[in-house]
Amino acid sequence: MAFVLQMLEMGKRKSWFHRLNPNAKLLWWICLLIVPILVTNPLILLAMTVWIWFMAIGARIGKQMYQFLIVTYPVMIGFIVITWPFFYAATPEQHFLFNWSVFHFSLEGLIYAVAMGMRIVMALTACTFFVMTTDLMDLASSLGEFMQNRLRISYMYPLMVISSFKFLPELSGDYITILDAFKSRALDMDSGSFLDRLKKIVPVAIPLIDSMLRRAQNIAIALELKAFNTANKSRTFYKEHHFGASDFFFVFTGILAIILCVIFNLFKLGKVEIFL
Amino acid sequence: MTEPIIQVENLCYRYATRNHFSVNDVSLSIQPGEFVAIIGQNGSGKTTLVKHFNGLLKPTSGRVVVNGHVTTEKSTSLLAKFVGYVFQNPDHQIFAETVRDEIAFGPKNLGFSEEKIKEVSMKVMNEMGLTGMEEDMPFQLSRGQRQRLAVASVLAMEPSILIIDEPTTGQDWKESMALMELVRELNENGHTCIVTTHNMNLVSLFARRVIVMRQAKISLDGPTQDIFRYGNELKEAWIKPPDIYALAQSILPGVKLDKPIVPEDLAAMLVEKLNGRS
Amino acid sequence: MPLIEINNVEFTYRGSTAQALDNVTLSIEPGEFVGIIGPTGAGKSTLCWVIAGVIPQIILGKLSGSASVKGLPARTTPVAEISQIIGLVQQDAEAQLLMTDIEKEIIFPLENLKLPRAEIERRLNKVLDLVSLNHDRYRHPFYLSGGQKQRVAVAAALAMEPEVLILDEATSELDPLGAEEIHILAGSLKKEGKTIIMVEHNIDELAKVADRIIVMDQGKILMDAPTREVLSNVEFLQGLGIYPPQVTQTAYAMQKLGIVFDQLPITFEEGLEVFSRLSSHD
Repeated sequence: MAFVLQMLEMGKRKSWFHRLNPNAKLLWWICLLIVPILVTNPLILLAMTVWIWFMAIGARIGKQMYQFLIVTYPVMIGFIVITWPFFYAATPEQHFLFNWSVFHFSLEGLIYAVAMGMRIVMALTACTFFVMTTDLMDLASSLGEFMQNRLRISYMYPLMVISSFKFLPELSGDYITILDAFKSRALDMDSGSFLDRLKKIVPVAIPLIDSMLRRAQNIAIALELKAFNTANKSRTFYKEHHFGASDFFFVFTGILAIILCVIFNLFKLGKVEIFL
Repeated sequence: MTEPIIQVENLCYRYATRNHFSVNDVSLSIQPGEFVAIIGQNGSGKTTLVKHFNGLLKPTSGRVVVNGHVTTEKSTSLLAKFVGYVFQNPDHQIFAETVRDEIAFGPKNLGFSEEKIKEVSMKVMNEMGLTGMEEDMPFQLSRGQRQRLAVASVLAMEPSILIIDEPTTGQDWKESMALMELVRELNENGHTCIVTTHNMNLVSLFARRVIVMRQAKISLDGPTQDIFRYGNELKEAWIKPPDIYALAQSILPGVKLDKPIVPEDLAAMLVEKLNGRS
Repeated sequence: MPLIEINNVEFTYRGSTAQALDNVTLSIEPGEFVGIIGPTGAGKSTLCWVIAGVIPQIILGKLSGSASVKGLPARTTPVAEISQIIGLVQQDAEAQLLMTDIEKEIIFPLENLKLPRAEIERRLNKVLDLVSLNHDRYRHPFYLSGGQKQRVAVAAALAMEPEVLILDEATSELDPLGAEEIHILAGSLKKEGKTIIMVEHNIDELAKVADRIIVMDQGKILMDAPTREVLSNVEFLQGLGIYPPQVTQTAYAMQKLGIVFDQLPITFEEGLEVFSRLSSHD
């Protein structure tokens, strides 16, 4: 939990990337998420991932991104690379390493699995970069300002989503305390059958839900006391978000990535099938 | 000399999310039947320390032995057989639909027989002033009643050691006093009682032994009245003895205080001094 | 004109049969420091909520009587409008902080008030200085102590420049260090002439700052008088389960043993002075 908090705190650092308009980074992020949809060639995806890593170093978040991804990559990649080949349809032309009734593991299957894994890795890297270079509250205000002024949508929606990040540590703290209280009344969460353990969650869930409801009411009161009007469609946004040349440039790099993918596909280089 | 019921040896504990130790090389022993108050400001380590007594936390280094069991070898649910822990906020444990079910929960988990459960339930409801409320819904009780229910639910497990974490939060003076009176009664009946608090008035009236924690270490440890003499150490730990102690020490210098004093006692002493003069 | 006027207010929470407020009448003038004391369930927080308009606009129940804030009816004036006159700080600091750092927390209500940027900046710096949290303005509340969190809550309320600050058991969940921070803050606000209502269990601290104390029990106001007058009523307070300052209790007990006092001391310093004077009277 503390690590999640630390990760979110990364958004408050200073670098050329951090200073970019949060909306620009959001657009860039959306573009980068389209890339693994268009392209499945693991080499292209790897190149893009490496490029994001270089940017991460430039944004001075390299170490933290490494700390997070060194744990997350293997989980993602490992799971996919190990299981996917088993599901890859077996056809006679493949080079099989292992073939016994329904269990087959071919080189082609492995390559395909690596490609799928690479898509997730690239998307994950882009997401991590985005989260670590963007102050989520700033994103809420820049997005909120845009939504309110251009789209006439109340600030309440982005506010609630982002505000939940403030409450995450408290919720998890409550959960731990409640669990401790039940352990202290001899509730052994680790014993018994799966069904038994499921039943044991019920007494724990009740105080947890109760605390969440209480908190929700407190938040509702606090919002009113701070003059927040959900119906109101106008408020000042203190932080000034300029959309300047750098921001346009950054969004362009995202669009460029998509253009490159389209070109690769036109030259029939974009898909993993070329290796099979 | 009897075996200590709680023995702490060079205990160090560090939370995963912090860089510093929350409990740093603490050693102490508590004899059966003692009434100990562990005081100190938030962050001094007092709650971290007592969470080791029922195994909620396991030492980063050092050893904690409770009732002969080394805590690293036993789960909290096992230690719950003889260590009762009452949490600060009763709403963090109340879940049942009736007061009866709430109280029976702990004993049921411990495997008490039906008759035994009925017997202890009646007893603790009496002790906590909840008789006649078996069918009431816990969520509809007042905050003070819910606090008493939480204590009752723990007492029903018949623990020999009772730990109460910050019993006065959110309570008014009358409720806090009532709770502490009950703890005193339990102590007189043989329970070992440990209370963490920063309310000096209550400490002075009930605890016989005070352990002062400051910055992860024990700063002072001794009989209540003795501890209040150590002005500097208490100040550094942000503990202020009740005003009457400071008054007594200023107006009656050298006064020997070997038991808790209430304003009436001080008044009597002052009047005696004045009458003695004239 | 009184800032706050409450007349014959009665209130019962929805779904409850007990009366939370029973024929409550009081008025508060600008510049007063009013303490409210009483056992749990006396209706102190309920009263604060009625003044702020939270009852009946957010918390439902049966309300009768009239409550007005600077002439505006608290029952119908939007809470957002009342909050510019009444700043309310509650017991649970955590529940009042919504943002991921202190600066944003203070800016949030000002943005909601549609103030221009320059004004927001001015107020931000002013309150951060007032509560001495300038150095910590970018910290996430998770890393703050209880006392610091409450100071942020007070700062956010003060940033709206309300005429009255209500501290509703703001120190109940704090340790002595945290509570002291809030008491010091209340004291310095008093010096600036701010109107303050403080619901507090720590009578010793309240005695040092309150001009007037209201005693409540079971929804009723039992006593509303200058501080010294209320606190000298030792047996009455003890009967309600309220602990008057220890010096006052000591002097009262001495009075019963025959010693005469012009007036009972209500602070430690007064007690020291009075008792020393007595012992040197030979």
